[in-house]
Amino acid sequence: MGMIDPENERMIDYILREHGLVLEPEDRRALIDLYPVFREMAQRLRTPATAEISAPFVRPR
Amino acid sequence: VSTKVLAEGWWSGRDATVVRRLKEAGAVIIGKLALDEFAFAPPDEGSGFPRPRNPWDPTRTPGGSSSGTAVAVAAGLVLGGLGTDTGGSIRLPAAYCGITGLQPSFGRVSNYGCVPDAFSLDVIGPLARTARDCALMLEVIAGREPGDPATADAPLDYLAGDEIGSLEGVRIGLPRVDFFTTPELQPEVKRAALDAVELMGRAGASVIDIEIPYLDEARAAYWLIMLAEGYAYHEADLRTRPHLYGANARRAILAGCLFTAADYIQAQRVRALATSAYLGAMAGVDVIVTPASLYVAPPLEGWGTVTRMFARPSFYGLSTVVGAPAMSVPCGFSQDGLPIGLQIMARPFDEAGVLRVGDAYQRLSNWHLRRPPAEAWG
Repeated sequence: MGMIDPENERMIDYILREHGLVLEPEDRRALIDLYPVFREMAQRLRTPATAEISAPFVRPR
Repeated sequence: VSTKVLAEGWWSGRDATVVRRLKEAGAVIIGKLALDEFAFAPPDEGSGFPRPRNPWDPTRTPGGSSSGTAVAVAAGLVLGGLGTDTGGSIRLPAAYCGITGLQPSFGRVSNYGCVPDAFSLDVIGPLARTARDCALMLEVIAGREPGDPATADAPLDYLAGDEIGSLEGVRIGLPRVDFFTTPELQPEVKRAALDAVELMGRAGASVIDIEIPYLDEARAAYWLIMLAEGYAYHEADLRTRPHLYGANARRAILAGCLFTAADYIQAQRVRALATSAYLGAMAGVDVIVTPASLYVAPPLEGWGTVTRMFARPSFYGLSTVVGAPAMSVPCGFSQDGLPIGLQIMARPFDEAGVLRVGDAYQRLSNWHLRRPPAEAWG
């Protein structure tokens, strides 16, 4: 584990408060470390290729 | 589900549809097997829940999450068993334990009576020695069922009794880029998968190079949908009694709270994109073949922690987000005697295509007939 980014820490505390979650310090720290990984993952989904997709998902049958 | 969240001795009072159907067909249910906690992560050491070990080398993981089933089949304790797959949980244990595991199409098998992992991704499927045994089980458990409105009436046009035995005319799509070029791919695994494809080519299949666009985006969509839906199911328990979860599972499931509603919707849009790309890539082929895992079974130590879980690329998320069938069949062994799996994917509801190719390959090879050495268990 490296240094804690204060911005990530602030966001995690906000998210936990909004969700009504009270976590042990180790769990909170794990989420702080995961936060940038998942924000990057969510960002990868913002691809222009979905611009024409209006129905979120239609299962092929 | 290897958890203290459900009270000891808790039982819903009824069988899941898949268990009921197997019983009605005459199957003898031996019992329940160990698995990852809520199918998310291995139980913590000291939790009291058993942590399955790989029958080929007990210091290695059998994979997850349907680990106990794969171990029991590989060790010869049962002829077949059930698992759930929400991104590899049937196929990975099958690959690591040297058996055959089929993730059916989403909606092919009723999930009624099964604790969910992710509502729109979960599939129950068979693990057995052979593709033919998987087909036998699938015939029994598949089909529309009112308890699960997502189930479909699509016909199963491959039956376990069918005589196939030929790959003549079968078109195999080979996505060399990504699946065969990712740096984490163990060279022995790559070699074994390519050897299997070559063998099928010599037996009459045509091998066609294909490209599948938007794989990175599809994997991101897979993780996001899986974690968000998993968190939705566990939200109330995580708020009121998080201490009952093991640390590995709790941290993995909690990750789902990091996404927004907009992230989730965008993931579903990418899912539509990935599905279209997948079907496009399949336009000129019958099945797609890839390695089933990046490497052979790793050591138990460190396996299943959130850091490892989200750091490694996965070959499984694609068929899961698309809802397409995929199967892992044994295709070789590493120098240190660990099994290697080959993944066969097809169009949604074309389990027939997957099973036919898997069955035909197993008539050409004998990897699926090997048994774990008894001395591995001391």
